[in-house]
Formats: sequence, structure tokens, C-alpha cells
Amino acid sequence: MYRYPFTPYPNGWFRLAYSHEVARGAIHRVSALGQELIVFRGADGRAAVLDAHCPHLGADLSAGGRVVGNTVACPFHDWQFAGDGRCVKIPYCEKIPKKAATRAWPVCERDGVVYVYHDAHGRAPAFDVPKGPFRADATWSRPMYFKWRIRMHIQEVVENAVDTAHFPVVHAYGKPPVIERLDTDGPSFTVKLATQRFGMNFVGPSPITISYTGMGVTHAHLTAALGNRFQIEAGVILNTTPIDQEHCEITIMARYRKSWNPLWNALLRPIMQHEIRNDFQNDIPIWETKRYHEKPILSAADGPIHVLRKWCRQFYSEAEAPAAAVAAQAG
Amino acid sequence: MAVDSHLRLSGQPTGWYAVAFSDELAPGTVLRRRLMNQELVVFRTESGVPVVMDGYCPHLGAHLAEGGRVVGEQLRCPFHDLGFAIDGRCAYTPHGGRPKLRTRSWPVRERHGVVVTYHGGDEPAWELRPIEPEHAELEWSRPAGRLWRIRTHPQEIIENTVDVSHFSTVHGYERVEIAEGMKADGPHLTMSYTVIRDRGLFGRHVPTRFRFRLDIAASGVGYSRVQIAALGLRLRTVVMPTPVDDETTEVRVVTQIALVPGKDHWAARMLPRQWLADLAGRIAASEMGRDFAADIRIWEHKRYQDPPRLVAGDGPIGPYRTWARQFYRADAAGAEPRPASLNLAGDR
Repeated sequence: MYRYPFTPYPNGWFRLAYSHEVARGAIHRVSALGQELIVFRGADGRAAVLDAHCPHLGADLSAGGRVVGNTVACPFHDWQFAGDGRCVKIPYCEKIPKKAATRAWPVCERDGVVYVYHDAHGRAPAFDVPKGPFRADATWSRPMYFKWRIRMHIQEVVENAVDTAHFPVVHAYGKPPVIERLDTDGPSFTVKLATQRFGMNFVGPSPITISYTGMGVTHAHLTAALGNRFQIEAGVILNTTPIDQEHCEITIMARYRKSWNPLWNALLRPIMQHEIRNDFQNDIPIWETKRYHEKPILSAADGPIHVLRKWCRQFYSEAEAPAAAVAAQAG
Repeated sequence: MAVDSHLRLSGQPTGWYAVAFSDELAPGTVLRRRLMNQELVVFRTESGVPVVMDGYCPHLGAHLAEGGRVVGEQLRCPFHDLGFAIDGRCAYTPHGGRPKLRTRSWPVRERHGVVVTYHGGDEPAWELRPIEPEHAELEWSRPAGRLWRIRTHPQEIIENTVDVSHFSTVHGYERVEIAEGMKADGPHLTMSYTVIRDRGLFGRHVPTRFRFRLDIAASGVGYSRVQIAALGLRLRTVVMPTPVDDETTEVRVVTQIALVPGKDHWAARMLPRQWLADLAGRIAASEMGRDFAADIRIWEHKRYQDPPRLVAGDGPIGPYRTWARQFYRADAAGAEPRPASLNLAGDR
């Protein structure tokens, strides 16, 4: 049963794969945004996203297809499609019909993530994906990856960040974080939280800056002081991608700044992994079972949830909300 | 044509469908089968007659294949021991008397070592295409059968018959030419090709390259006969897709070989004929199986492209689909595709 009064597929950039999952010459199959898609990388190193099924006789390009130069060749009749979706070669036919093309999606590859742009009306991308919250060089650790598939709407992830009152209850925070700054600027949204966490005996202030670019791209920059001597600095790229009407996939790529001490660097990795996994898993049972209240009853100490919902509205195209879902919500 | 929510072909075409290999159905054997979501029981009487009936006993609903047994020319239900004759009438009860009870007995034929049944009514509207007279008098090897379970629809499998351009991509045939174009004759369809197969035998260990003519004859979307004449042999492969439920098709592929009299190699004459034919049949079955298996991945993942985007050089996909439409009864093939979950209507 669809639980939300708006479309499961808002407009914006969404992660389809990590760059390392799509090597040169590889075809990667993805179900996302209610679509069957492939990501492939041609000889020129550029990733492209196409509909998974060939427009000719419907074969799945990932089921035995191969990359030829900068094109992907269908396993059934060997039609070759370029990254822009055009059919550029049919081995048994000289003349390629004008209409022989499959749908190509706008792609952006940044910080080791392959993004696709979705717009309900097929318009060109309205904004870009900004640079990530860490430096991709040796001063920062190798990335750590996490992945969950959750029965939820993508907007829940966005709401979570400003829902300050849930942090001490759901996560191991001593007291609710204080919102120091909150900016909305077109498709981006930044919130700076001053937190104090108990979980792993972190003491001292631990500010977190979370910024969204659309609903699919979240960058977080965290620092945590451990006593007076140690400071941990971490950068997180969190991506949420709606898979179908019911499910989202949440993926995290996290890196931390390395210190001069290799032992400390090695020790920090499992600690960070444990912390990130724990923080996230606490939210999952709530998301999977909650209802969406359009007019929630809020207390004075709740976070600015309405500000965020208003910001979210720009990514929903008007005609898109499934009528049945709206009726169900009303009933 | 009706497609499901994944744009895959759905619908229940009428026609003849294979339900068992003859060699798994010795006299007295009882098998449980499914055809288009309908439960069936397949058995052979002690005198050797193959029978297909509704799976559930009309009396109190036991499944006749789960513990039922053949007694003489009857099938006895495992629950209350009612006996059903070949025509479906209840011919025996343990307490005597002849209740006016009958179950449905499906039309059955046995050919190429396979038992086939007709879906679409108690009286078949048509018969499988007869064997060509020149083939009927040959001495065929023991049928070598193979079974695959594939997530696809029978119409997609038979569509490959007319799909000229896939032979080189998927099967690696060379110089594929149409020898005779597609001819539709009621429920039957024929098409012929000449091709060069250069794939080698035994997984390329023995290099071979030969040119041959491929005659394909389909009857409905459950039966397609491929005949090849090469190297003084006649080869016959019958591909029989059977839709068991909304997702799955069981495909039985049977291969046989016949040595053409007077055309044997001198070495062949030194060996017992039947032994030689059976050996050649086994090899051919393994090779035809390899060619068939190349298609499976495509079928499992493809969707029904409607309309397809065709170019010059493609086979007669459009005429084929028009021909296939006759097998869908008005209620199943109408504008309103029936949701898969409501197909229980046909299941009694």
C-alpha cells in the first residue's frame, strides 16, 4: 500500500552506481526510479545510462550484451547504441531508421558516484551535483561503503536531519542537537547541528554540517572531539535512490582524515564502521512502518520540519501524485 | 497482445502442449503436471494408453497424482478409491454403484517420444502438422530429450523461428539466408533457411564447418519442428514450450537422427545401424541443446516489445505475431488483459 500523498520519484540527481562498479567495458544493471536501466562505460571512459531493454525486439542489454568501443551491443541482434541512445550500427542493415534509438538519461559522475537525473517531464537538469565533503587524496582514508534497501519514501531521509528531537531517542545522543544554522537556497539545503554524543564516549562539541542537493544527494561533514587531544574529521556522501513505489536504496560512502599515526588510522576504521552502521540501523524499523502525517502535531521543541517539507515541494511535479494514494491518505 | 506489469508477454494461447516424455511414463506411472496454472495428472494405463486428466478429484478434491494409482485401465483416487476411466467417467467405487461423476479427460497424442495434450476445449480444433511422408518411412533413432525451465512465454520462443537476424548474433551461424519465406496455413507455419554452422562439435574441440538447410514447421506456439539434412543424415529437433504458470515455461527439446539408406559412409556400414543412429542422435541432441541454450538468457530477461522497431533484414516478425493472435480466445486476447492473479478462473 502506497503511504504518501506525493510521487515516489521526485525530480533530481540520484545515485545509480559507484564508479568502481562500472569498469571500462562493463555493463551494470540497475532497477531504480521505477525503471529498468543499464549503466555502461565505453572505451572513452564516460559512463552512460540507457533503458535496459532494446527498442528493437526487447532483449535486456545487460543479459549478454557487450561494450563495443563507445557503444553497447545488444545480445539478441547486435544493434549498437551510443551513450546518447542513438543506434549507430545494425550489422545486417545499412540504413538505420531515424527512430531507432533508446532512451538515454542525463549522467553526472562525481567523487566516485555515478548519478542519473530524473525529471517527471523529461526536462534537462536544473542543477548540478556539488563537490563532496572530503578530499579524494591520500590525506583521507580509503572510502567505506554501506548499503541498505528500505521500505520508505525518500523524503523521510531528508526530514530526519532536522528532526532534532529523535536523536536522543533513536540514536545514542545525550541530548537533542542544537540547530546553529539553516539555509535553503534553491535545490540545496544546509543545516549545521551542534551535537554532543554519548555513544562511544565522545565528549566535547561535535558539529555536523549536512547539506542536501535535491533529495538524492546528501553531503555531511562531521568533526568529533575525543578528549582534548584527538579530533576526528569525517566526510560522508549519503545517497538515497527510490527503487520502486515502496522501496529506497540508501548508500553511504564515508572517508575520514588520516592522522600522522598509522595505528590510530587503522583503529579508527572499524570504530567508524560500527558507528555509522549503528546510527543508521536505528532509524530503519521506524521508517519501514511509519505513516506520513501531512499535518503533524508538533511540540515547541521539535525541529523545523515544515521548513523542510516546503523545500521538498519543489521536486514534485504537480501532475505526478498518484490519485489513489491521495484518496487513501484522506480516508 | 496482453503484457504483464513487467511488459512481459502473458496470456494463454490454445494449442497442443507437451506434458511428459514417453520414457518417463511407463505403464502404471502417475505424474503430476501443471499447464497454464491448471493442475493435471498424467498417467499410462497398463495396456499403454497415455491419459491426461484434471489434477483434482471431482469428488472431494484430492490430487490424483499424489498417491493415486493405476489399476488396469483406470486411475484410482488416493482419498476414497474412486476409479476414473480413460474418458474421465467414474467407473468404480469401493461400495459398488455407478455414480454420475466425471472428471475432465484432456485430448492426448503421443509423438517423437513426447506426450502432448490440447489446451482449449475437449475437442481439439486442429491437429499437429503431420510428418512428411518421406520422413515417416525413415528409421529414426531413439528420441533424446532435454527439459529446461525458462522464465518466458511460449510465443517468444517460437518467434525465434522467423527471426532471421538473431541466428548469427546468438547462435553464431554464418551467411543466414531465407530459402523459403514464412508461410502461414491456419495453425501451421513454415519457414526455411540455409546457414553455415562453424561452431565445432563437443564445445569446439572438433572443428566442423558445414552448410545446411534448416526447415522449420510450427503448429501453434507449443510445437516447432526443425529438420536438417546434412552429411547423409536427417536430423529432427522438436522444440515444445509448455507454459506451466504465468511466469514459467517448461521447454522439452527432442532430437532424433535418421540415416538415409544408401548414403552411408563406408565405415558406417561396418557398424550396427540402430546403434550408430542412437550414438549420432546423442551427439546431435547435445549440439542442438547447446544452440537452444544460447537463447535462454535473452528470453529470461527480454520484454515484449510492442510494436517492435524493425529494419530491413529483420524476419517477418509482424506477420508472425498476426498469425499467433489466432491462438488467443476472445476473452483472453481482448483489449482488457486479465491480471495474472485472476487466472484462477480457468482452474477447477
